[in-house]
Amino acid sequence: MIAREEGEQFLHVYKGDIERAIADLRRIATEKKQQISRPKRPISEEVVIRVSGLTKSYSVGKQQVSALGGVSVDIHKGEFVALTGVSGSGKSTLLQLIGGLDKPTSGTVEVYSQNLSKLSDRHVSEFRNRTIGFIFQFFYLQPFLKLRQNLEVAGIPLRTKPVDRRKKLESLAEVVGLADRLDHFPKELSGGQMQRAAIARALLNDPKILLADEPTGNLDSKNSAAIIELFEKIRDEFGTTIIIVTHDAAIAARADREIRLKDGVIA
Amino acid sequence: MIRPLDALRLASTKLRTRKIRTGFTVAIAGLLFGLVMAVTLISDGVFQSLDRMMQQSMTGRYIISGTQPYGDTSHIYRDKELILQAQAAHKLLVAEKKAEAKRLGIEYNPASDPSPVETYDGEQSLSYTSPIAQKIIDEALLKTSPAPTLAEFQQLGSKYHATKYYQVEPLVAKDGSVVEMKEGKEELATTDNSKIRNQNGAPADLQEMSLVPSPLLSSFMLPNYAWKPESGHIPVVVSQKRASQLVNFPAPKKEAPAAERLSYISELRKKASGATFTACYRNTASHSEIAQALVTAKEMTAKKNDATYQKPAYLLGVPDPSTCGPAVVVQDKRTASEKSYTDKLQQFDTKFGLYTPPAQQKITYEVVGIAPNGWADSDQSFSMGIKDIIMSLLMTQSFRFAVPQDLYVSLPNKSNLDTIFTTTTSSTNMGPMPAPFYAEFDSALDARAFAKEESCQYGVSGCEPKTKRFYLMPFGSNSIGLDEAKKATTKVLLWTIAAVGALAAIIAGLTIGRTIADGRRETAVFRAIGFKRLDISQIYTTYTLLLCVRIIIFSQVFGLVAALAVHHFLWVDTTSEASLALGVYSDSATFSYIGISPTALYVGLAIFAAGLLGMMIPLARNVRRNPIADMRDE
Repeated sequence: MIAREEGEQFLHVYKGDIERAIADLRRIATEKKQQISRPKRPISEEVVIRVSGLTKSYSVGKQQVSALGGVSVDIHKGEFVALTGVSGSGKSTLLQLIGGLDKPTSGTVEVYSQNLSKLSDRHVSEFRNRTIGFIFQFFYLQPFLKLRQNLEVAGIPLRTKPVDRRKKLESLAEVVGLADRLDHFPKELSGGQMQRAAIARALLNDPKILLADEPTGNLDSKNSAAIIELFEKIRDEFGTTIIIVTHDAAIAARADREIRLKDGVIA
Repeated sequence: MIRPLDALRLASTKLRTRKIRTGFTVAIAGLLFGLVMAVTLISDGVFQSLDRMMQQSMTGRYIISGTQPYGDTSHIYRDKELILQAQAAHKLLVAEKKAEAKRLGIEYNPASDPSPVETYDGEQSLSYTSPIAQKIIDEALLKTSPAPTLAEFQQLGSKYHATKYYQVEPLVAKDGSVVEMKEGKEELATTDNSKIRNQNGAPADLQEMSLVPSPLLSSFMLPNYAWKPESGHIPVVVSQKRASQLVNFPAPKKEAPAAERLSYISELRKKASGATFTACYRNTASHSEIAQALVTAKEMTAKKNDATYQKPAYLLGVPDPSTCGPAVVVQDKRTASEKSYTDKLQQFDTKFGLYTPPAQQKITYEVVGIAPNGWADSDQSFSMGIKDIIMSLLMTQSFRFAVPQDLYVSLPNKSNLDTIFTTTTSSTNMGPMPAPFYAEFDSALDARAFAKEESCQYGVSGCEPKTKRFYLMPFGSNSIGLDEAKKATTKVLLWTIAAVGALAAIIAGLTIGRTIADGRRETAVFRAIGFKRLDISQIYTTYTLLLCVRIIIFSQVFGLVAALAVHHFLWVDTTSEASLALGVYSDSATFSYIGISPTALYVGLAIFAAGLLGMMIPLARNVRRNPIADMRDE
């Protein structure tokens, strides 16, 4: 008898665990607006990026590989968000979809209420140029152009007047601390300086959103800290919404919010 | 679209990324196009120079000469009926001569009248050396293929819009020959007539004089020639070669200084203007007397020490060689019966049309014009060098000795000259040779069509097709041939440009493809920054154009250097030889191996086309790529 009771009790506990687990899974799957970590400072109520049920899969040979398995998230104006997760978790894919560099398999990305999937290539390009600033791990500065000309590149698609471009890039160079390096070639700059240059380039068109894909991945801790400080400064000074993909827990800790991705879904 | 200057700046960075690859592409494509460019510059230079030089000779005039083609006469020579007719005529003549000789009491050897029929391999044929056969053959030829008339030629030419027609008449001695008196003296030392005729080429020329309508000669006439009709001199247009011989002013050798070679024609024209030379006309009887005098003189010299030798009773001596006079009677010790016998022989010959009294006359010619050396006067030995090809283009039919018709008829002594010369056609073993006709056209196209469509072409069995009544060819200058050569060259060049272009497009395409592939990550970043596909295409198109500009500069420099080298080594030679060939005397008419024409532009366009063509596929593939894929590939 005792054994039977113990067994039923065990089953009850076990059953309860399963039920809880199912409930948790249901909640994860259905919950659209989810806050993973608390904002570290007050943020605006205005949602500038709304990601809903976003999936993305790639064809690798004959196989379909799912990079994102249904992500929904809102990002507010002036928010500094860190996308974290292990390699292959889908954080870069999410960033690129937010930036309109790729089309989702399903779901939507709305930036300032504009559904990017519905925009033509030309309009997405214009949107990127006016609204988004991209920063990459490997800087991508043109080795045969001086820093001044490299920074100007972002202004080219908008056909801004060269005089205006020059004024803007000089003030940005001041902000990122490269005013004295404008007439140098990228090879004459350090890694940190090159990343700061890439940030200045991304800011040339006064973007409302800054997307950075592992911007410190190629830098030492000192330079990484400096870059993060720069991001904070940008956010504070320009009110720019910043989304940063990173592996670095310290950097993530300094963000207003950390969104952790695991196997293509928010963990 | 981004600003062109921005596109230029971004595109120029791509030229700096792979310098060795870019340099290799520029060098290979540049060399290929450079060769085409060199050939283009040289051929343009050649044709433009020829055009320029020919404007001062016969260019702008498209003249076609038409002659009756030689037919296949062998069947006439072997015609059995004609053979029988000739044999009968010969038999009759011999019988008549025998009877007449008997009546006059003189000897007659029938062997002196050769049979009009020859036998080869058992087959009989008429012998053209027999006057009887000659007459029968000429009559038969005229019957089977009557000489075409000027009206026929005009009718044919009018279909091709010929604007003018001319007829050139031969001006030949009726009987005997006209032999140049070299340095004013007759060469009487030999009785070998053929030797005299071939000496220095001149006597033969004088036998081939033509009476030419003045418009045909206008380009060759010397300015302000001094000739006056009262002089009684026959005005002549001579070939340059003859002119240089006449005034003893040979063409400078190749080693001579450039200035000397270039000024030669100009000098020759100055020296030759008003130059005169004399010739001695002798009819057959006069020649016979001179020959008799020479034979006797030779015999007397040989038997000078022979005591038994007796001088002929009727002894003729050679005249003063500068007089062109008759043979001199040195002594006449003939008996009355000998004189009577000679008179009877004369009566006999007169009856059968074999006797004409000796006649001779000194004729003075005066140079009024110089024509280019035609094929007949050419010393060219052609090979495949550039210069030789050019010279072969220039050579054409021309006059060797031409008498301007209007000047000739104004001579006060024309009636006297008419006793010597005839304008009737001469006869050859191929039949009578009618005078050629000339048709002038306003366009090379018409002239070429006329010559191409209405002329027969000589082959193994004569001029084919037999239905064509004329053998037609360009006259005076080879402007028509040049036109053809120009067109053919342009065609070949355009095909070459296309072939080289295709090859260069492949090379450029590979390089551009590699550059685009190398720039994928950059393209992805640019796309992330906000560049549109069109902007990326604009950058790579600008890059391609910049690459093409480099190839163009390389090819133009290479082509120009090559053309300059050819020009440097050949221009003096070609100028002097083309001047000789064309009879151009202007100092300004120099030959250049460098010429600019639309073909050079085509080379440039072909380079751009090749580059843009090479860019198409890699660029199309590149702009279609997903930038994320390229970012992920890193």
